[in-house]
Amino acid sequence: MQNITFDPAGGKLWVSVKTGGLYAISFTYTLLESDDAPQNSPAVLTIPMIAGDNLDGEGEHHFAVVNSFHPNEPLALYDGRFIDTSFFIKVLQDDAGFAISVHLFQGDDFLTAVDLGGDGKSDQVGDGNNHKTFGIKFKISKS
Amino acid sequence: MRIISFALTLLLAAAGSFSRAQSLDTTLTNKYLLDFSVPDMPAFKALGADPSNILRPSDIQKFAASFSPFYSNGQGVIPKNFALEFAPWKLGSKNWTLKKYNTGGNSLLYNSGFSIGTIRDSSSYASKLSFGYRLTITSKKGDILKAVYDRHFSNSLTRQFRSIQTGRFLALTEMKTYWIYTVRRLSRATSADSVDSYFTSNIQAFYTYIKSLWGTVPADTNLSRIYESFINQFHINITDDLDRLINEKVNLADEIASAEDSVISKFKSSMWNANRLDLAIAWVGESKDTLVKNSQFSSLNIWTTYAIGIGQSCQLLLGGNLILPRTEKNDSVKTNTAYALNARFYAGTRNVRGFIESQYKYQNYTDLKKSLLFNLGGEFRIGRQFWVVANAGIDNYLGLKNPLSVLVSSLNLRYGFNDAK
Repeated sequence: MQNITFDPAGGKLWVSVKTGGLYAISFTYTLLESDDAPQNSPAVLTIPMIAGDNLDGEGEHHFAVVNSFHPNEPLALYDGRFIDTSFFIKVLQDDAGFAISVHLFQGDDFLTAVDLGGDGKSDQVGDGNNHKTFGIKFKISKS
Repeated sequence: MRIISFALTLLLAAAGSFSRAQSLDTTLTNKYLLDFSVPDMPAFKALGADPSNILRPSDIQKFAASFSPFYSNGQGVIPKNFALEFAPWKLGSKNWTLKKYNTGGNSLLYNSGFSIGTIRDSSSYASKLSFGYRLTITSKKGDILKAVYDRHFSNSLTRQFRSIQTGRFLALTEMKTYWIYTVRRLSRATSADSVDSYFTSNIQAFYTYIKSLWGTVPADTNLSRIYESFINQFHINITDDLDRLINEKVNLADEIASAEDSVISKFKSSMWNANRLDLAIAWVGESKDTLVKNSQFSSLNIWTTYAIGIGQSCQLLLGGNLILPRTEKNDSVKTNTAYALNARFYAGTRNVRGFIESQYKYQNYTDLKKSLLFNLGGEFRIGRQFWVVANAGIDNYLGLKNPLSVLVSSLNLRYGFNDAK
């Protein structure tokens, strides 16, 4: 799990997913509440969960990080929350390797947003399988 | 450098590739290769070892080899004729995205192949060496990398594929996430790997929770939505379906993949005869004594073939071949030219099929100006990567006072490598 810091006085947070390789790749993104939140707070804050894939011609997908229950709450309340991405990778034609990266950005407009850092995975499906699943998770904290 | 030495070097290179291919762990990933028949190679066709001039289109291989003949007069023989073909962009496509494949001319590069071939025959210029280039253009319906990419292109296969992968994965992840963090109340700081490990270890408890919701209407409308989506996506119709999940500890990611297997398997079996257009060119050089320094231009060959799928089990090829052989000063015509027009009809399955063929050939040099070929043949798979193509027929030279009919035959072994590098 990666720890990412953000500016609570800054612009919106974004998740950006990039996929590489001749594979069918599906992914989901969700925002999880902090462990320190009140007991009655929902654990999952992205409703419905957001999904995407690389079958629509876009090499890069980005989503605004928003609490579905309180879309306009201050950014400072995102301190300690988690961003969870999960991937399902299917071999279509060969198994020469895939590359996936997930980065968090901050800025009101994604095009000018600042890259806060990220994580990724490059691998082969291989090992006698034709599919693979895995997750990439971040904890976001106030700077 | 002798041509024959060069040929042996190519043969050894091919042998090296065979052993490399065998060492790869490709047991299941190969299910996703488009293992259609190995197409004719321009560099091989240009050498004239096959009585038919048609260039048979198919899915281009990353690497392929063709040998003919390997059997003569009842005995196995070392082939004197062989050719190699490779697709450099397909070989180097490791980091290509679907978007890149579908952008600009990249799909054309991906489906381009270069070939080299040699032959030793009994003519005065016994050693021949050829170089060829081929481009295969496949209809969107028959190109899986185009079909799954273009959301505007839709048929039953692509709709199923998208629904299964993204739809099922979302339903599974959402149900799993709810159960992990809301029902089981795992720390949200649990790493992704640890969450996966926990889920796998407690999969029966997960299914038991799903079963506990069966027939109820959860007060939580979000849970109700997630549950309904999960039940629908995985086709859970009766509680027996849930009992199977519990008792067999089913991995639902495997269920997603196996459902897709059937979609892609259907694609393979139905698309071997998809519409394709092949364009190819080959240059042939010849030498009397195998020395490159004594070699000279022999011929230039150009092909076009259009393959038309008919139903699930038939295919019609319509082809043309223009040959521009070497013209000497003492030739009776200004420029030697020959052309052939072919029609070939296949019937069969993705692994075995037979064909009938007719060819009209005209050349403006020698006495044998016109000929009509009637050919019967077949092609079938041996193992996963080898194909045998055999045909026999009658070549009837027209326009002579006593028409000359000649029995012709060809036996060709092909190897196609389309696996992971």
